[in-house]
Amino acid sequence: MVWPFGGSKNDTEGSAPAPVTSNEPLVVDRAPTTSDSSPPPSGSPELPTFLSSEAFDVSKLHPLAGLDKGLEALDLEDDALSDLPGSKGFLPSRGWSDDLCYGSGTMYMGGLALGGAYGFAEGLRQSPANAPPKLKLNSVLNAVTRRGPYLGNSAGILAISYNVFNGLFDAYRSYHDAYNSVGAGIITGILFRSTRGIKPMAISGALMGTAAGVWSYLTSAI
Amino acid sequence: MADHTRDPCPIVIVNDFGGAFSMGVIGGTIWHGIKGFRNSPSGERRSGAIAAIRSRAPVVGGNFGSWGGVFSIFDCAIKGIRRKEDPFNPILAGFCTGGALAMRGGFKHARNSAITCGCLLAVFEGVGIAMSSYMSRASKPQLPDMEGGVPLAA
Repeated sequence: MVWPFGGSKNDTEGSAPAPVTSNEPLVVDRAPTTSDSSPPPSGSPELPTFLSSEAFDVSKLHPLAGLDKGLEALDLEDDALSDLPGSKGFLPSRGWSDDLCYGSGTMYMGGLALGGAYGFAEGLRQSPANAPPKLKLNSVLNAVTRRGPYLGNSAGILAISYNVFNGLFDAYRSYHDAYNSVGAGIITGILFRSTRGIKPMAISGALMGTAAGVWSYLTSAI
Repeated sequence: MADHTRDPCPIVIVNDFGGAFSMGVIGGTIWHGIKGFRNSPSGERRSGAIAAIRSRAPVVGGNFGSWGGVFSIFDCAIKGIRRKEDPFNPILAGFCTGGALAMRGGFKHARNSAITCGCLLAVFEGVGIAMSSYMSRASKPQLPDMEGGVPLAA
């Protein structure tokens, strides 16, 4: 397991040679033939100073390896990527199940956060101004748990059905392009409002198709 | 022990959230579709099934998703604190998840739920270890067939 937070910062500029605490100028012996008889200064250079920026400048180790970029969590192995033509875009993907998990996870968490924030404000607003904090907390929690999951669930199932249809179209046509995305969006929108009647179905289908088109334009343009 | 088929830690939370949510929605669709179909009077079976799916399946998905996501958050946090991977990570994460999700039911409920989830995850981990050691028994290195001190294959 790689832990991308912390621990990797001191390879590049974070470990500029640590300041030596002694006041006398440090004797730097570059030529190995002359012997330096003076004892090492009291604040003798420790390991980080010894492995100074020359020794571990990662960008100079192998210029093509891209080591100076640090750790990139979104870099996937090339051979693990989906080899569907047209699917190489801004976001790397291993295939439709990866898209499904990340898409629905992002949408669900985003909807949960948005709805939760809205519910938080609503709960604060609805509780009386002089209510004791326990009542206030309860009101806020009730509003958050009502609004958050509702929005999160709706956004999540939209993302699931969009990704399922998108994957089906990709598999059927063996090719990915914007038409697949837009078609999947339209079908998703129609299904989402399929119990409300013809007009809401058309409106929601058009909205979802537009959103899918914008999304696929953005991912292919960047 | 590191599992390289999964993404690194903070990102894998999104993946787990989405995977668990999708699993819950799809499973909940099947479950509540059948349930709504069976519980409706004949003649309204189709609409009853659809209504049950519409109202219940996202809730099942949300419950699954919040469990999986919170579990993944705790798993990552525990990995970050302990800086190592072993079967105790999921057990501890399951314990914390069970407690966190039952927090509004009071201390007793949270404690019982935490212990239940921890035991459940311990059973899962134990079964997983047993399965993998059983599977790898087939590929255990064997002594070559010797006859008169000379390996037959050589």
